[in-house]
Amino acid sequence: MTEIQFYILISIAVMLLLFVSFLLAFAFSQRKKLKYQHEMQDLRETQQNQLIEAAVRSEEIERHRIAEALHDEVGAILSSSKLHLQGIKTASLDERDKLLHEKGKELLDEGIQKVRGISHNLHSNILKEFGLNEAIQHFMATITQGTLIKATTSLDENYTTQNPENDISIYRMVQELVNNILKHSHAKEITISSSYIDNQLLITIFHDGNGLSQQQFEEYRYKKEGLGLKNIMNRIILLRGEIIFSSAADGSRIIIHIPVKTIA
Amino acid sequence: MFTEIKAWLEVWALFIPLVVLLIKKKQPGYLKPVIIYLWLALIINLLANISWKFKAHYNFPVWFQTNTYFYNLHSVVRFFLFSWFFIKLGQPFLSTLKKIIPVLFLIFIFVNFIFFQDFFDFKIISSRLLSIEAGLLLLYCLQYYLYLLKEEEPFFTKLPSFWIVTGLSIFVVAGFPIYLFYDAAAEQSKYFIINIWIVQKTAFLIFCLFIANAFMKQSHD
Repeated sequence: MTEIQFYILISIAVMLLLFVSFLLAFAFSQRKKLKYQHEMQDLRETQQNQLIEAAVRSEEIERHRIAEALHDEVGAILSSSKLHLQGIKTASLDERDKLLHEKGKELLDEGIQKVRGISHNLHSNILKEFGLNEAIQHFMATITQGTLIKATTSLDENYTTQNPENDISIYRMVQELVNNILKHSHAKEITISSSYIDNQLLITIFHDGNGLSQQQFEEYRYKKEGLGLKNIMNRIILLRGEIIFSSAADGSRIIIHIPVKTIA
Repeated sequence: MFTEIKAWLEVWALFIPLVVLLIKKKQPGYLKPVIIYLWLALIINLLANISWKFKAHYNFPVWFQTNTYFYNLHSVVRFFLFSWFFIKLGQPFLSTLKKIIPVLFLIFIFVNFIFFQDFFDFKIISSRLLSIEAGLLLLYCLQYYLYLLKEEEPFFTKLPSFWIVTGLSIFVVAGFPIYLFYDAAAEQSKYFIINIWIVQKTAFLIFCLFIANAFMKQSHD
């Protein structure tokens, strides 16, 4: 082998070696960056979840505070007012004043009932004491009372509370969604059903009114006035679940899918 | 049989990406120069091989009795089409340099082949042309990697351009020393040059395989 042939072979080997080393260093560097990006993304997700959790918890605390204030303070004042009103001797009153007295009592009773209703709605006592299914059934019965809307519930009895905080979030979502249906959809029939299989809770809200499509939900939840939908989405993110809106000829469906972590 | 496969490697290797291209017709716009290159390379290599393999059997005209200038032509075509490819990628990195290089190369071609060498030299390929072309293409490839490093693109293996540039890099890295010392080595031993050319052919096969892989990726950079 001549000198020049030796140089050619050595040059090829060195060039290829250099290139392979460069390529390996490049790949290693990019992989490291990818790992770093994943870590950063995880960190951002954790921070976002912590923020959502804090917002949801503080909202719940605020609800409790308002519920207690309504019940203990406003409710007490109204009850006391009723006692005072009942103390008025009506025998000496003329017919017009008697009517006014009766009307005042009726309005006061209605006010007491309303305050109690709002207070119970804001509070999650039933949920804590009797569980999610009972709370949803009670809520549906209360909210449709005195209306022409037919409410039906068919909830899976196998579901038992694993995490009370998560149940509050699920309950609040159902509350918000049903309130929205009553307010906007002109529904005459609402059915809430649930199934609990392999630690997966599936809640379906069906109604015969004008419901949202998934696209509309995505649009509204970023709007200023769509605060309720935004809260629903925050709770979904917090529970690592998903919510699906769909509309068909027979009615509209909202499916909430929540993976339930069992406590060992 | 194996000798024939080896001899026609620079022709059949091109069919690998071309067949993939027939299956995956829809390719991003910046791959157009590569597609044009494959077709032109196929024509040039086919003519080069026909002239080399059949000149003894047929009475070809004088200009078709040798294939050396086909390699020069291939080199020029490859350089300009891949320069176009790198510019078409639209990476905002060393943009002016990428546009100046083809102009400089064009000046070099004119100066070299008017004053110093004959483009249609029937005896030997232009070692100077091929080595400068390989060096400049390597420069393009390195700036491409530097851009990826700068842009922190972690999913680089999903980019069709990455596979094309890597294939091209392997081809020019393996070919550069051969072209650089080609004249000197050819003077000493013709057999060595024939034997060492298999390295260049293998690199060309890898290059074609990488282009085929890039066509399979079919995504946008």
